[in-house]
Amino acid sequence: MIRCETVGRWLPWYASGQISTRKMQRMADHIAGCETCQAELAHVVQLRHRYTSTVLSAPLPTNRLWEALFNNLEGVSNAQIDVGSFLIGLNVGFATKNRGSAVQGDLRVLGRKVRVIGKQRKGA
Amino acid sequence: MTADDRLLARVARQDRDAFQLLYERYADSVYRFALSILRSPHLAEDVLQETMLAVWKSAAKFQGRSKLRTWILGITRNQAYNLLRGEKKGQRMPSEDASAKVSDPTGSMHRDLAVQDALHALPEQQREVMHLVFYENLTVREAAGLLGIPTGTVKSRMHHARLNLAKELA
Repeated sequence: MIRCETVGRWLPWYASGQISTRKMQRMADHIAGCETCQAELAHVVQLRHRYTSTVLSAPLPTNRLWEALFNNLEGVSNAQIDVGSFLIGLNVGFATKNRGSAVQGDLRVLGRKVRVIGKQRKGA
Repeated sequence: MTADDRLLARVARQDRDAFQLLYERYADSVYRFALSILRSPHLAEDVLQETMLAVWKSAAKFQGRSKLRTWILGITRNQAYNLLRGEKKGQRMPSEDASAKVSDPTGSMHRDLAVQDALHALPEQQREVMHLVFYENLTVREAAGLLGIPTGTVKSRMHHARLNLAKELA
């Protein structure tokens, strides 16, 4: 016979279904006949819901983070020239990569970038 | 071989499209786990960057002993604690970051803030277990493997986290 103390320790995983079918069944049998464990289960379910709601309500990082990360993958920038304005411009850079170095150039038109020197990355 | 395994194998071959897919799949989890430890959106973003760079560099070393998600969350935890140790040596203190508090236009802000304040009062060890169990739905064994502690300790920390959180929210 499973004890209330044991059931209590496993309740967070019972609530999320992250236990074996056998243990789930044994706990379900116990909880069905135990008001104390029923109340504790209700409390765990409520706490879990409040926790996940709080986590989900936090703002997520912006897309700029991915851009910065991708630039890190492309290597360390050694030199960069940027001419023009927001409407139209040209950016040429020299970067050191893991295996050698590379020259890249982007033509900028109305805020959109098109790679004109070097490899164009998909989705950019 | 799972879809995650195939994706990571492509990342190990330095496939940037695969890496972008992996980022899109796991960035939120990494960021939220880091935020639960550090309580600072700015530091959590730093951890997200460092974690993803580490995944990019060490994808070939993944041995498949755990799920990809658990492996990535393990890297996240290491990065977060490295940063936290640096913070405690005299740089920015994460708990002072006021922007960690969430603005909520739906009207349930006071309730969220109460939970956030209660969570902030928990010890880091209890907070991370609670996040892994309640949000990431990890099993006892997965959480124990990720944290490098016995399964009994996971259950014990979770139990105390629940009690402490309930006390704070009372």
